[in-house]
Amino acid sequence: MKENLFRIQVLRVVATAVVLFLVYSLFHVQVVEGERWSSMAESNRFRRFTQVAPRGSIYSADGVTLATNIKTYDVAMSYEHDRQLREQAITTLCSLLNLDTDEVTQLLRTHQRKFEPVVVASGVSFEKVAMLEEHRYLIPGLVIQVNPRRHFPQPYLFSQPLGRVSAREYTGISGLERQWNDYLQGQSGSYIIQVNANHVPIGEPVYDREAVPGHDLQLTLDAELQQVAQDSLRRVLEKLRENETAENAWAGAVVVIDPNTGRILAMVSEPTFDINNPNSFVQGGIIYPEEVPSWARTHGLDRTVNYRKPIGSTMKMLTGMAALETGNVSSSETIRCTGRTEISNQPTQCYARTAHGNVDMIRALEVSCNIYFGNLGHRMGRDVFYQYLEIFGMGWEHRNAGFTDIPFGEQRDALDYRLRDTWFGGHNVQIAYGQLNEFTPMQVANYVAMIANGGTHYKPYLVETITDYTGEVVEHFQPTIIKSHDFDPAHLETIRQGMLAAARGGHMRGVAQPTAGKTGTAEDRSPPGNAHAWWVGYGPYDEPEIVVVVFLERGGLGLRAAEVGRDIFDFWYEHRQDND
Amino acid sequence: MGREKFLRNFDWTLLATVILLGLFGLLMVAASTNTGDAELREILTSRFVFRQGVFLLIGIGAMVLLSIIDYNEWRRFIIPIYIFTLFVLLLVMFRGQSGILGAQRWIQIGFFSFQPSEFAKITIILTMAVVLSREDFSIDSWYNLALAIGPAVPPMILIFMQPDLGTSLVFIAITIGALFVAGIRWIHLGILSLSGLIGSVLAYLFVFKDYQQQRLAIFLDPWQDLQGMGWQIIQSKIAVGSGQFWGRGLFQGTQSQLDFLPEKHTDFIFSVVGEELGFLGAMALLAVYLFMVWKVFQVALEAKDLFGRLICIGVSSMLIFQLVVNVGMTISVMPVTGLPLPLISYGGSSLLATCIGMGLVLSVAAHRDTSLF
Repeated sequence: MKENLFRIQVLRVVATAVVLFLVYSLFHVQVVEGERWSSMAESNRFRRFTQVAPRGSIYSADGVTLATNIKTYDVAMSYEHDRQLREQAITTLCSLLNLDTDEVTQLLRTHQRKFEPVVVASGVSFEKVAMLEEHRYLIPGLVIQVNPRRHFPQPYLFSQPLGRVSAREYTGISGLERQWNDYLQGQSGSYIIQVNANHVPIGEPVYDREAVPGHDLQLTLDAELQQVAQDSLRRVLEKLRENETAENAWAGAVVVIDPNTGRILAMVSEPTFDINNPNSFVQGGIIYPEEVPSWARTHGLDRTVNYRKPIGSTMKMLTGMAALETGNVSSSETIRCTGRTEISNQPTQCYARTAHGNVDMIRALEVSCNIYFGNLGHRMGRDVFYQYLEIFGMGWEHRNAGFTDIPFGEQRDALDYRLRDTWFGGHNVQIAYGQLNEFTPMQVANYVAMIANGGTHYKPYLVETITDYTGEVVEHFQPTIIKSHDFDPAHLETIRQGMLAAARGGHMRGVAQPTAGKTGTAEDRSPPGNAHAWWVGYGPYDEPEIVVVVFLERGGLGLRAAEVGRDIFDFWYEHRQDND
Repeated sequence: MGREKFLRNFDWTLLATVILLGLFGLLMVAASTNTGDAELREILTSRFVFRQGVFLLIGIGAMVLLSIIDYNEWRRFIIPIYIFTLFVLLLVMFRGQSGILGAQRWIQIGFFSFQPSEFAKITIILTMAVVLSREDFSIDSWYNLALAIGPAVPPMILIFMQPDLGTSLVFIAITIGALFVAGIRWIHLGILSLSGLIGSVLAYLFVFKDYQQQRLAIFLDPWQDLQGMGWQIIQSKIAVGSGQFWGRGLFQGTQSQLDFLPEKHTDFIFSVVGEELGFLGAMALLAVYLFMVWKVFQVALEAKDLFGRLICIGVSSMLIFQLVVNVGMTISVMPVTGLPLPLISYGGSSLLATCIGMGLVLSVAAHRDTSLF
């Protein structure tokens, strides 16, 4: 016990000794050498800056630059500790740049990391920067940063799929820019600069960490095809409005995919916005003609993947396949069309109440006979039909399966109509010719591609290759098969012939090569009440290279949408086919 | 024991000293996270000050509560406490969150992330005290010595692997302090120290991660690495030195205010003390600190049993080691190891663990046998 107490005393002496050692060390640093360290603190005018990494560029499949960086001048202030100098700096700066003094003061005061400069004005012109440089001696803490800014050479053509980039953080906030941000962003760097007593940088910056530029994306999108699709869509919409055949035709979408891989070759959504102008995305920032109704002022919306509407008669190939595969009808069986009848108490009529007479599958597709397909719907019933919707990738599964490589908005269950408790027999008839259920143009494109390619469900994708800034390929994406379904080839052939007949007899007459197609006119009673025009097609018939889906919201007859399809196929057969 | 006796034995001075240091810490956290022109209301409601204040209140509560409970009660729970500590340290390893330099030190519980290694120090203080104070146990042989050191080794290795070199060194300080007072033979102590020296050289060569080696190399010559760790060391020394005798005044230090100092509210808080309060302020802080440690030693001397003594020795070893390493690192007389300054640095876990330790010491003081004196 005695020993214990002695040893505690020893420890106490040791503890005291080491504290005295600290006292001695502190005395040496603070009092003996204090003067020297103090003058170092005075001249300690190192500043640390963040260097924003250049974002990776985005290129189209045909080598057109879709997104790149341009230089902008940002004016920043680093925190000057001396209040008088600081206030003088803020006043001078604000008068030169016409900024609000209180706002800038507040910005500087609330900035947590005083060591780094705060950007007070971005995108400043070179003339203003030169003027600031002349007055630098009055503005201690002034920092001119040269930062990259996102620039899209085609401001209206790819707005929705590319998405926007926030100016401040320089990160993607929608579309591909968001989905692939980790690749595009690169790594920001930082460097240290010493400034003299007048806050003028002296010497070369010393790099803490060099910025690493982001990776480049090469897309599957074909810029020229996209332009053709957008021009055609705009022209047709305008014509429809002017001729007052469809005064509400303000919006629409076009999707072109490769049925053999899932590559998305074009995706156009109207209306669109100037992606280089951050204000244009905000409602009111874009100038709509006065007559544009409010529901159509949705320029930020990507109607190809985030917007669903009933698809009308373009559903009929699916209904036909379902009935053939489940033995509810044979290719040769005929059903009598009187132009107008009741099926399961559901009044059903064909366009213009035309009586088609005895029609088989091919003829029914050719003339788009509602009574024929209504009967198939009645025979199959709801559950068989929904089973085939899912086989064709038209179901809820896409919500989580990453249907494309751009982010979705919030999606309702595509099949939620089934969940309604007011289901009655007539609904079996209506769903068969494309009413009640709603789908996105991209879903429709995928379903038509499955008919064209024999039943393979490819994941539609936009990014082909990723390369780093040295040009080395980081990733090269291969087509992804989500699933395959074994259809009877004879059944597929029947449906394809029906599409060929429909196109040849009407809207695709005279096209350079055999092309399959189908129109759709989807009724929609919700205001403003006009029908939606749809057209789907693929070609060439024997060796399909592209699938085209055209959607004219409130565009009226499907035949109108076919005009856009025709333009796209004419372009493809003339300019693209031989290149392959 | 009667209430009257408890109140008479209670060490009010020690309690007041701890609270005083805690409040001083709060002030320094405010000074290192706010600039001179911030308003008082802003400072009080700023995230760092508010959180530290809440933890200080909780800490004081825990300290008072622990001082009331007889410290001998904890003997019965030592095995569950020890196992639980190991479990949580393992959890950090597999589920923890990375902090500075990718070290996994934190665990998220509700809104708070806490640092189990801080609490593990208290567990080891208690465990060593329980083992070494057993009637039938004496560390006169190598075998018994190994038995006594044994429990401290697993948590130490886990913390070293986080990696947190500083905190695992605190464990060594606690262990040495406890063994020394429990009566380790001088020859054993000598051999242990020598092998420890050789062991640390080997550890430096073969076990230390690159950055840990670098830290030590940079400690010897900070100017070789102006952009990285050397920057921090030099900036800290400039800060402390430029405080000179009187200091630059509270909230007035250019080094601290301009953010030349990384981690200035946590590990490098003493740089802010040195810069803004000068040699005078630093001396005042060291004096109060030394006074507190002396009081803990006094409680150890007056404790009624060896268990109580060893608790006090563990706590004082921890405090003095962290004080010297932390303050020393701000003026480059010690390498940077990432240890907080107990009661002063920002950080709820460290503050709470220190208060728990002081609560145990206060309990030893309050339950001492006064008939001896």
